Order: sequence, then structure tokens, then C-alpha cells
Amino acid sequence: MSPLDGATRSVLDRLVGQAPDWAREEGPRSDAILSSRVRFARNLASLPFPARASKEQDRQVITRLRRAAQSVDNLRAAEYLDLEGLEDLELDVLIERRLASRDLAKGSRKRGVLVASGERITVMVNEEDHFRLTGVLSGLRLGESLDLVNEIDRDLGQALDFAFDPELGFLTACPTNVGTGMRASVLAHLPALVLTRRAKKVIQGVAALGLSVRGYYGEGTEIMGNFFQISNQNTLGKGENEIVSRLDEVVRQILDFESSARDSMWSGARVQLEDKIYRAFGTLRSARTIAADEVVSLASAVRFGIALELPDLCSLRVLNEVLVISQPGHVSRLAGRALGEEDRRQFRAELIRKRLNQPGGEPPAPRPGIGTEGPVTGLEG
Amino acid sequence: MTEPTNPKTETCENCGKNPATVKIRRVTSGEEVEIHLCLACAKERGLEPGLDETGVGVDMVQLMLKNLNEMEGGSGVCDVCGLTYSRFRETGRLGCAHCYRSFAKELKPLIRRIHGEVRHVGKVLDRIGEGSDRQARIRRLNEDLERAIGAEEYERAAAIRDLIQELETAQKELS
Repeated sequence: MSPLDGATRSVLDRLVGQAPDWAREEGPRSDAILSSRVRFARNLASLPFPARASKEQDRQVITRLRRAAQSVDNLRAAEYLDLEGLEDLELDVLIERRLASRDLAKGSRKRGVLVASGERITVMVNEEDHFRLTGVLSGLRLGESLDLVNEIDRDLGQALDFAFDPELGFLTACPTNVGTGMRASVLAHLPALVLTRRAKKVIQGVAALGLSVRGYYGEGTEIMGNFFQISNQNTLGKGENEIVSRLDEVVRQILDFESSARDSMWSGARVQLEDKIYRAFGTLRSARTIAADEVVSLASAVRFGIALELPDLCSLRVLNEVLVISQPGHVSRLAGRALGEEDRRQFRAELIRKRLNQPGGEPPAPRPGIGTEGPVTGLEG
Repeated sequence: MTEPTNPKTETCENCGKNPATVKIRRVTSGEEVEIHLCLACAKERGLEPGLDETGVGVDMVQLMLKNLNEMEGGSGVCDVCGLTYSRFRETGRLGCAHCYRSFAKELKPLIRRIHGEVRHVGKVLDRIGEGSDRQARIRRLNEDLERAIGAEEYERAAAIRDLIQELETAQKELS
């Protein structure tokens, strides 16, 4: 193990016990939007893109970024995680926290990620592009996330020779990213649209607007837990602000649809809905063995209940933490060793029980101006 | 977007063998492109719904390249990184920033197809206005350097010193 690996492992150990800041805060509209994320793809003009770079060039890219980061306010205190030499389970932790994409984690070149500001800011190095600058915040805050990335982009751009063409904009390894190099996305929880079978129509409508919608959890084509990622597709021909405000506008429309679907479910099937939610909460709090998939769908039901402001559930923050720490890589890391399937389920159930019964697991104080019971008319907050 | 499609009606457009169970639809400036894949091919290309936010792009490029007949002839080589156009057609990824010039003719229709546009209108890397910024920046870095030395953070001090040198070199080259 190189000393760097040791440093990376100790950072991992520190991170793994709690959720990232974007999952612990409760930003605007976090009843339905978990996070807002903006990433810029950037490359150095003077070196080949990672797929064609030598080991030595990979190393240069990393060195240049780390040196430049010293001069960027938001990156000065960043920690660099060296992915080379990490075990699969450790890489899974990074993927589950979205500190690294699957491609970066499973890659074989010299690569890593700079992490700053409670995981709100990350810079992946040597993925498909030399750099992927990302800002992520809790709730619907695309504009603020863009500001965050703009700031580090501006400062890094002073110290690094970013590949830029006046006609085509920022040059990227894949032509789908050329131009702004920007992908803006929100992670949305839309249970009422799914349950009232309106999700498909909404997704089609969104796709027709040039945006992309994908399921977030789940294998294959299954969309699990009613979590969706909505993002822009095109990166050329529109400015960053325009892309972001367009996405923001569409997301707000979707939230309106979700709210009215929640209203109609509440008035049409209140008891069945409450029953499903409280049973899910009961299972999460009491299960002695539980699979990761099941946690996602139960957490989805509980999340719905919290959004409906039903009493005696946990807070959104705690639920988000449960979602993060119950993923397979996290469970194994928290156990301190690789676990077999059944042991992992048992340990997962134990982690969740502990978290839900810990101080801070209690429901949040009622928000001013909105009752803790009753129909969902107060959803637009 | 990816969504399930009717397995009875389609075969996978990539392998041509398995039933297509994943449909990818992409709309660009009103033009809709739809691609049907089997789950194995979709997964292999990172197209299944999941955590990865980067998968879609490359696959769309590869599939579009397959479908763009006018690009068959491309046989050039990038004189900076040595990437051949046929290699790009296989992988969907360019080799370096210069590839955009080396393959400008071939890339233009592809970029138009992907984005519906061929001209960037977003942020500009402001190399001209950089000069005065750079001086302010060097001043600020010198202050940082002193602070780092005062705090005995020598590794950081060395990094800042390197950066100042780099900026000063760039400054001289410009003036």
C-alpha cells in the first residue's frame, strides 16, 4: 500500500459513517428534490484526452490539477482521493456517494477525485475527460450549484490551459459534451406520479423538450423507489444559464404535477396510503434482515409520508442518511470487512434500526405556517 | 431516456440477435431518434438506468456514427495524437483537443445531429481579458505564499511558488 492509499483510506473511513452534506441538509423543495447537480467537463489543451494518454501524462494531469487547486479558494482544503489501488468495495463506497462515476471507479488508469466542502464540490480527474468539475446541493438549487461550479471553473481556468475553441466552446473527449461541457441534473422523487400512472406521460413530455429522464436506482430497466434523474441532453447552442433555467422551469412544472397527483391520492385513498407508509416505516425500524433494494422502496414510501407531513415518521435528513449508508459498499465498509449476502442483510438491518432510533431520528418540528396533519395543500412551500 | 419497449416487435439494433427490451429516445431540435437495444447491449454500453450519468453520450455517438452514411469515407489521422477517424468511429471518443480540427469536416454533421447546433454560445474562456486578472492573481498568490511559509506549510508553499512561476511565464509570453 502506498502512503497515498493510506491517506485515501482514512478519508474514506471518515466519510462512510455519515451522509454527504447534500443528503443531510434540507434545501428548498427537498420534499421532492433530493439534490441539484451541475458538472462541467474540462480538458487540458496540451495533453491527449485520458483514453489516449500515457501513464506519465495521466500523472501530469493529476499533478497540474492538485497544484492549481492550491490557488482556488473552494479547493484549497480539498482532499484528494487516489483511486489507484483501492479495493472494489472501497470504490463502491465512492460510487454510492456519487464522488466517482462508475466509469472512473472501474477504470484502470491513474485517476482520482478531489473532494471539498462537505462533498458539495468534486473534481474527478482522468475519467473520460481530464476533469469533471461538479457542484451538488440539497433540494432544488440549480442556479446555486451552477454558481459553485462557475467559481472553481473560473479559478482553475486561470491556472490551467483548458481546451477551448471560439466556435465549438469547451472541447471534450465525446462530442455529446462539447460546447458548455455542462450537464445539469436533479434527483427527483415522484411517487404520486408513478402510483397514479402519470409518470410515463410526464417522462415523454419531458423528453420531447430535449431533456433526459432516467431511473436512479435499480437494475435493468426497472425504475426503483420512484427516484428519477432529470437532466439536459445537449451542451451546444445554448448558454449555461439558459440551460439551467430551462431545466429549473421544467422541474417546477413536474413538481406541480406531482403535487396535484399527491392531492388526488390523499383525497381518494387516504387510509390505504397511510397504511402503506406506516407499514414501510415499521419494517425499516424493526427488520432483522433486509436487502438494499427493499430499503430503497421502503424509504420511498416513508419519504412520501414525510412529504405529506404525516406525524411520527423520521426526518428527511435521517431518511436520506439511511438511504446512503444502507448501500452494499457502505454496509461492508462500516462492518469493517467483506460480508456474505446474509450477513450483510443482517448488518444493514442493524445499522438502519440504530439510525432510526438514535437522537435526531425523531420527526422534525412542524414548519411554520404548515400544519403537521391534514391534506397536502401546503406542498408548495 | 431509457424505458422498456415491447419485446415482441423489435430486435436489438446493435447485436441484431436478442429481442430489444430497451428503447432510447433522443430529441434534438424536433428531430427524434429512437434506438432499440437488448438489455445485454444496453448494459454493456452503460445505458441501463442507474447511477452513471455519463453513459448515454458515448453510446448515442457510436450509434449515430453507425447510422450516418455520409461519414463512411472518413479515413484521416489526427496529426497531434495519431487517432484515426476509423478508431473514433469505433469508440465514439476523440483523442485530443486538436482532433476537432483534424476531423472538422467529418465532425460537423455529427455535432449538428447530436446538438441541433454547431456554434457555442455559452461561457467563453477569456484569454484576452486574462492579463489584468492574472496580475491581481499573482499578487494574491504571493500573499498566500507568505502565509503558507509563516504557517510552516512547506508543501503548499512549494505548490503556490510553482504556480506563481507558471503564471509569470504566461504573463511574459503574452506581453
